Amino acid sequence: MRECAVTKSAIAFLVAASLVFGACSAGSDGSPSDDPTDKGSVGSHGPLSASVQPGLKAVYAPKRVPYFVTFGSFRLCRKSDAEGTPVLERVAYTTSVEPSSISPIIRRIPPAEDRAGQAINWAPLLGVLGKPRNYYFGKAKGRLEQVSGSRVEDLCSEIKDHDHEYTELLNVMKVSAAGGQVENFSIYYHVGRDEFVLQVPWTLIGCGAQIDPSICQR
Amino acid sequence: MCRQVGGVVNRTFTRGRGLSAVILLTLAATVPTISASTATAATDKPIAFTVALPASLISSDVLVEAVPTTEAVEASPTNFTYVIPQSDVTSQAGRLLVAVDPKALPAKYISDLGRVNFAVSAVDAQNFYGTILTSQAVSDPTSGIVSWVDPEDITDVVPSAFTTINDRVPVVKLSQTLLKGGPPSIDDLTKASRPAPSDDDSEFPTDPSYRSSKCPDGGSGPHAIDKVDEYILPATIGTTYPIGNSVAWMTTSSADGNGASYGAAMRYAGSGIQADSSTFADGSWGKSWLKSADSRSYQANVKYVDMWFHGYLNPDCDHHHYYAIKETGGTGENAGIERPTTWDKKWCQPTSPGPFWRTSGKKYEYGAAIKADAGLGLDLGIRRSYTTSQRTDYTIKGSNKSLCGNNDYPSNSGKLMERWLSAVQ
Repeated sequence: MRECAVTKSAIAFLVAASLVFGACSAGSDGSPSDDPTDKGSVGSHGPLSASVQPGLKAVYAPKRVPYFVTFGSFRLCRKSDAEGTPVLERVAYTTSVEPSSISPIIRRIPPAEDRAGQAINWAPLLGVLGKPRNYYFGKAKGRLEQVSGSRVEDLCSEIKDHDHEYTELLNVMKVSAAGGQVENFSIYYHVGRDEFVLQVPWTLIGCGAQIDPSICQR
Repeated sequence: MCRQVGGVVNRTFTRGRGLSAVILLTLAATVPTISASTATAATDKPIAFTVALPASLISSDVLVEAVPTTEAVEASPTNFTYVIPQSDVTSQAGRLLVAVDPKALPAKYISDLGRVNFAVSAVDAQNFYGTILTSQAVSDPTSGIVSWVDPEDITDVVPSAFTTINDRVPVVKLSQTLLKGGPPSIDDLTKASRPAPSDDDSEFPTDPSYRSSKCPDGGSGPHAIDKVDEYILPATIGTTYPIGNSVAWMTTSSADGNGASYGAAMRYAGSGIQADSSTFADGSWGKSWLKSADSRSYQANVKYVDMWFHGYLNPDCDHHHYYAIKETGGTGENAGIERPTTWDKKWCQPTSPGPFWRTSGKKYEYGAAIKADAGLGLDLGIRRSYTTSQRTDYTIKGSNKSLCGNNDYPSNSGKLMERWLSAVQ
């Protein structure tokens, strides 16, 4: 699937445009390009995919605030072998209720033969109270590294195999009593000298007083 | 190839690579490359679909007909097919290529959304072959270039954005990009073994070339199609499996044009029913199911027709297609269904309590989603992608919970289930 190369000067225009999904290409946000039966739904720029369909995860506030909540399960992959290797730069968040902080971190999961202990400790983290390495359910394993400069080598077709190594983007949110709501976020990366943006259609919510009660009321 | 020009993406066609399917977006058009298996036919008409040809058939053995739209079938039970000119049916590298100009189709064969159901039939020395499928014509209003796509590849259709231009080919505007690939490709013509001819069967001589010339062609002109029956069948469109105090539900919007592929079946005289085809059916409907802690399956009613294709010179060529023509808008649910026990827990992940919802996902397939008690006596399947109009919600309660997918992690899987975290650790 061909994608459009977005020049640096056009990024601001594209990001501002409400139809940025469609501005460039037909592609999908997680479906491998070589699978004719896969039906991705969201447009993306460039060869990077985050392996998610549009959705939302909210987490109820625990008794103590401020608290940490980690939103992951964004398994990054390359849609085809034809393009070069994406190199991540940064993540930008579109927030409607500003959390105390939110920061991205990359988590590397090795191939299955190198995953010792319980499989659940190697699973991606959909929305879990806690922060690396301290989650409510225990210790999530994997090697952590910063976003900037991280390379995404795995093909989306490869990570369909659960045993294959993969790269997960985690978003660690620190939430005060007010709560925090990220409507969606954008991953900035480059392939060679071409700059790209992947807009990820996932909403992240840490419950608190300023979040819509219909979401956070237990 | 896309090239950025002053903030607006232009696209360039490379001649000789075949037409790409184009969906117009309000900012720019997009050009996905098509797979190597599709290509232009000898004519300039766009390829409506392709079929993998058995070795025993050549393109002149195969008859392609457009069948009347849902509206036409509901308006009148007796109709005729529209025969695609044989010169537009060619083969290349073992694939049948069917070229169709949607503007040349009479109105009763192409829906307002540009969808056409095509019936394919052929015969060799041993077998009858057939299939039925849906393809959808789309056009770029800027260039006027028309091409065909698999309607399953269009997952977000904005009904108010449909405009028919004066040549009746609809323009599709999408709020989200989606197009992948091009026209539908069929990998298997359904095969129905014919009954062995008797020794004195003068109507059915053993010379294969005679058979081929008499069936399915049956002489000049289109064939009669009569709707001999119709069925309203419930199709399972989704399932939810909350556990403990969690609740879950589904929501679908009522946008016209959203739909799904539903299994189809066919039967030649004297043969059994073969169920390998599918058509795309849609309707205007919407439903928001109530929250429930029960395991549930969600049904949408689908209208199936039994269409009798007849009027062939050799009546052995008469056959029936059973296929879905519309989603009626009726809905239902089954509560208290059994939870799946075969999913691999490797696709489970720990999840803190709170709401979760998901729209599109991998193809959601149920082989036996449609039980046709009334008349067909067989289970047909539903191939359904979540569209953005179909959403699954879970409100997760309790801290010992995990969400599991059936074929991927929950944010991308076809089906979802909630499980106790302790059960999957």
